[in-house]
Amino acid sequence: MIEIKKLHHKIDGNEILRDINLTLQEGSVMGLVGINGAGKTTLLRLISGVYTAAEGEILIDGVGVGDERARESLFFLPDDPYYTAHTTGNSLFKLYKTFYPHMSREVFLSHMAGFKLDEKKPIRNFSKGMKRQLFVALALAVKPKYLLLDEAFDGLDPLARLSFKKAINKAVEEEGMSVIISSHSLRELEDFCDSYALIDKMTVTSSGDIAEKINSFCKFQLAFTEEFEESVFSGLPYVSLEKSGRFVRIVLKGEAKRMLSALEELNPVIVEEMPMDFEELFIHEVEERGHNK
Amino acid sequence: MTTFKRYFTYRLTQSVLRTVVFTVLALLMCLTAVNSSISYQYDFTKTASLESVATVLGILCFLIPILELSGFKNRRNLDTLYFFPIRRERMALAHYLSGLVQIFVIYTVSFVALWLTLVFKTDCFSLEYMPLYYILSLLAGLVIYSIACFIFGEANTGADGILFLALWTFAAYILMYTVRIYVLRELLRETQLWPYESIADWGPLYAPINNLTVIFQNLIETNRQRDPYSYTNSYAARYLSQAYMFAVWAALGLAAAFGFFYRFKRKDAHLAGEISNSIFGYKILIPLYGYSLLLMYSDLDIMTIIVFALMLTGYFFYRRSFKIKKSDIIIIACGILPMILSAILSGM
Repeated sequence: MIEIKKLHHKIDGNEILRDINLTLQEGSVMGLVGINGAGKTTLLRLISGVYTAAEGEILIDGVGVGDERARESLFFLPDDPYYTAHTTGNSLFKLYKTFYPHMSREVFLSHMAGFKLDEKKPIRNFSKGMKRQLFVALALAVKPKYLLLDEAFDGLDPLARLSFKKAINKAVEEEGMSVIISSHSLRELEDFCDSYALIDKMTVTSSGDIAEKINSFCKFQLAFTEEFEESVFSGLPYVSLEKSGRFVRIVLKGEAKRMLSALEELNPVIVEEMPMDFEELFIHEVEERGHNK
Repeated sequence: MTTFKRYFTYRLTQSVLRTVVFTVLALLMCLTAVNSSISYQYDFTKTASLESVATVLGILCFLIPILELSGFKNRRNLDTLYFFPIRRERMALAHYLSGLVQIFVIYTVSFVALWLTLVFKTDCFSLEYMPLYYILSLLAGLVIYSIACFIFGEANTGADGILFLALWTFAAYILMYTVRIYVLRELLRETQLWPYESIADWGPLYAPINNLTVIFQNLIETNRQRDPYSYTNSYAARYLSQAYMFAVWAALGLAAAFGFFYRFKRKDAHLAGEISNSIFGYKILIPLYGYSLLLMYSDLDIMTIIVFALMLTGYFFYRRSFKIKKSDIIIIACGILPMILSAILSGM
């Protein structure tokens, strides 16, 4: 389990993260979401021990991340991993093997073959997606208990995304690996993660089970016989409302069944429930906190 | 095997090619020098052999820290290196020791080749001093290497680190020279307290290797002469009389090694690639060089303008912008304004 307690962090005197409290349960896949500059990468760097927190603590199975024993079970895949002109898959394997002696060459090679990558070729010639796949192959060969992925889907084409997700999912199911993944591809995260943490204004403003969170909102499309005022919905707990002539699309906070009854009382010609997704939820959450619509 | 041992071994294997290339270059340099530098004079044979091998050692003590520690100046690289399950000071130790091993191998091979060449080439020299020179020069190299690691480690980019090394090489010399000329001689009218020679001799960063080499070169060359004293190099005699300075440098080296590991452990990863704000960098070096040069050329003339321009350029380079800070302007003004005032007052 990864526990983050009362974490504060400043860079050059500027507050980046404030009072972060978060727990990653074993075998869980958590999506770390937030607008650009929210502090997702900084949080991942703190969890992985790259940065040292100004205040608070990060415990990996009860041991502070500053202790190298805690980091033995971690693997951090940054957004843009470093490599030199001569770096190859093999040379990276050699480096990682130094720190993770149990690392499996067979697993590494099988994933490299799966991703159709040549471990002998310099990675300077790889595309961003190929480099990411190479590092995922390394991560899976390490078999870490905790995998931290920054901007995981960035640069991956749809097919690569699929194989990437399959590989991670397999490791989660078979090895019991726990994953924290930051990404702006919220639709991907929705499929992939079971929990989420939203970072906004330097702190975790919302976190929990994704499905539960989505189910706490509902979306409907309604049509009325004549033009109407928005004020007719004032008694309802709506978070967004889009009106176009006699039609309206509304997102409400609450149980769908109860909200449907409430809407039917307004005598619409048509009322239809629509699926709500994580991206929409995210947009509502951040807009509610004063970000531009 | 511990993680440290594995990483140290990894670093060594990674530096094999570099070590081989540098060894070949060092051998070429030393053997060329030894063959061309033995000059048979009227009754005395001279050689610059030790100077050549000492130059190799000196270059390595500056170059290897740059090569070993450059990776820590790249934030992308730190994202990888710092999550690895190893303490930062142990990681630094692996790089520090790996660098030392490279220097040891390259220097030892060059030294042995040079020694054998001298043995087979001439019997004019007292080569029994060679083993002692070898051990002491390695220790002097260790001192310079540790100081170079500390100085380079203080920079946040490779370019800043190289500049820090270049400037610190003569910083102590410049400072001591200025103090001697302008504080002791001009202000206190004291000329005996701090002779110029000792400043010039022990100020530069390469002084421990250089001075040790001059002492031993002299021993090797003169001891077989009928009257060694008549051939004694005056520099060697002077350096020998100031041998306590080796202890001062050793203390500096020890402090630098401690400082290197202490600061490495505490340095924030986000600083990599950023402006080098260390107190051991531009903050000291720009005023030190600027004020010293202004004092050396104490009249208000073209040199004042050149020094002003150099200090300004230094701050532009430091800040990586033409927009420098108020504190930078104050430091420049503190050097230039007194000179202008003094020129105006003396003109009146």
